Amino acid sequence: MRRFLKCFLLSPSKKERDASEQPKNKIYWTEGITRKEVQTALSANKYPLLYRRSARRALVIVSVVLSLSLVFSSSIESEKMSSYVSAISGLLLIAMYLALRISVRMIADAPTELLDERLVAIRDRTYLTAYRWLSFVVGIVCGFAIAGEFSFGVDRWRPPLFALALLIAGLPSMILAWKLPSEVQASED
Amino acid sequence: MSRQKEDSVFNRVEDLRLERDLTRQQLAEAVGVHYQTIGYLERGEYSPSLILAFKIAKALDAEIPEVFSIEPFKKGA
Repeated sequence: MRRFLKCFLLSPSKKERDASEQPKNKIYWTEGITRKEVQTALSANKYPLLYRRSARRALVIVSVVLSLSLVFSSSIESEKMSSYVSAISGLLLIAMYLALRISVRMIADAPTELLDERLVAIRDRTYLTAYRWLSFVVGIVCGFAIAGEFSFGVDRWRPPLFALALLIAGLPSMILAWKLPSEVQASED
Repeated sequence: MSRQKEDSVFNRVEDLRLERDLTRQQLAEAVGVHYQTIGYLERGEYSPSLILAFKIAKALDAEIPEVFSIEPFKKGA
């Protein structure tokens, strides 16, 4: 009887078995990403144009221009104009950041356990370069702040600080997007 | 010792893979890497770690010296 129950009643259904075989989706809090997102991005071919070097580099250039416009929006005399420019630049910059993440298949943000050794090496080299660039940018910002060049009020600091925060978050993806070759040219599968 | 860019490992991954009628995707899944990594390896643009070299040799049912070498393979070998 017990054997019967075990075989027919207690055995998991096919659906349950399939579900247990698939790895659970996991949230990587420090990376700000999920397992599913990375796995989907690594195998996706949804946006073939974004995986071309020219498109990736165009995204980087637009991101840099938008960051600069966000920084310099503080120096526009008219307060209304300044807030319009900073709001539009900020929103576009967020969109560019998301597009950049997709274009580099989220390699820059992925945890080590979801990447193979080549991708881990690429990601780690990218972070080294990003850190050096970031040190340079932060050094310049600190230099200006110490020299008292940014003498305007606290409100005017917001757009440049927002640009800096997005730069910190997006710089590894930007560097990766600049360096990675076109996938069509690279894989010729 | 510094790792120089020109230090590359020669391999016969593509030949052996085609002999065994495997796609890049199948070989990649067998050894647990992204399919593009197999492409990079075959083109000599990436030198694998020792563990990956062992896994590839095992997946291709070959010995490591049959698959990888620090000297170019003779044609038809």
